[in-house]
Amino acid sequence: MREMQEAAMPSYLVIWRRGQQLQLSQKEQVSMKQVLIDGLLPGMVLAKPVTNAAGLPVVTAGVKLDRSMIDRLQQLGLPAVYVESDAEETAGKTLAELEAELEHRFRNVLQDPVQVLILRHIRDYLRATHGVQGQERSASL
Amino acid sequence: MSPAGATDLRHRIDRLGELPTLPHVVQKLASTIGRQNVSAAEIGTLIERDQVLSAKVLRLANSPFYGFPARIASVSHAVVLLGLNVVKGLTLCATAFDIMKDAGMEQLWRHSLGVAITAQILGVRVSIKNPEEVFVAGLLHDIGKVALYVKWPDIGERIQTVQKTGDRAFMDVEHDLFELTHADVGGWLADAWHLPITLREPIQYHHKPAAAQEAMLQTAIVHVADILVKGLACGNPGDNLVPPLSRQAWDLVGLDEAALAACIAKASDEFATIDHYL
Repeated sequence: MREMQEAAMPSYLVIWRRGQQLQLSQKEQVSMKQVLIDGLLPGMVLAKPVTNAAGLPVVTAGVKLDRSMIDRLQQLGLPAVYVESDAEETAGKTLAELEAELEHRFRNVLQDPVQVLILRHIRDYLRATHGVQGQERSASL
Repeated sequence: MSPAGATDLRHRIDRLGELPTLPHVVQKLASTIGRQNVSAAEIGTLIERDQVLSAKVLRLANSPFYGFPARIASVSHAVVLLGLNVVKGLTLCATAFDIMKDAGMEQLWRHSLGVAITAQILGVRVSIKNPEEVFVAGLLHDIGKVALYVKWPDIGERIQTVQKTGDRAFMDVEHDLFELTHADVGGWLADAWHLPITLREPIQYHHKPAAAQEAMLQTAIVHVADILVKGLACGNPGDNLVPPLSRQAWDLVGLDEAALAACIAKASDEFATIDHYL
């Protein structure tokens, strides 16, 4: 059916449409990572449903895990489950948290003055995009 | 230290038959990057023969990154409007994405695309001849990680286990265990895929740019871009540590403070469009 409709379209529209479909099908996929059962933390969100030995869903995708749910998953004896990965992890973080993470990333290279310069400019940029004037210099650097 | 592990990995990688292969079209395209004697029509036809690839290339060509007001409707059209090298870059981009996405390495893809975008920004700033080339080099700079994790999951697992326990950089753990790093593996892949030296050296030496023999500037650009992107936390290539900076590479790229600030702002703005590539 789709092929017939596409046959009637100019070729660029067919390609565009396929592109759109491709984009849609990829957008539907949540970015996810596999986490060992012992590594699960409260607040993680299941990206794929967990099924029992008979293939029936025990916990559906999209559920936010709490401690009791993690305990139950551990009892099922699964090696690992899929949880949503933090692709958009900056969302909802405060400027202070972002700055702390930034300094943490640079923790091994702070003896290099150029790296300190890079760090400072990234921090200025973070502050500027959070409505803080970026010229202020941290006392530690 | 595990010299046995190093020998084992070298032995496995030396058997080139085990290396991941690139689709024929892409391999052919990659080998023509930087060569002058290939016609635009030839490349356009080559890509258009692959429907799925064409669709992906067109989606990228129409992404806000290139900012063309009118929709680009065919690969040949894209070649005319964007130039041959951009289209070749986009094709490699689509392929790299498929490889990394299939491997479940979406965060590595995000990081790689971030490095590609930043390298291109730096390339334009230093007026390099082919900014598209450093884009592609940035895109592929961590391709060795894909090989390590996809082709040899047991090796990837060992590295990850050690890395997690010690809060150490990925690369250091690789080196301790196998006496070589993902950059070396990437260099071997680039050789096996017949990539030009302007792509191979940035891949192989992105952590030690002083070792580059011919593509010094391209390698320096990818090295600096990698550090900026790690600093900006666009994607996650395995660990969240900013690697050491080579002063020689930094001087070669020659950013002053104002240029550094401008590059950080421009790169961050463009990272926001990354989802259009996915």
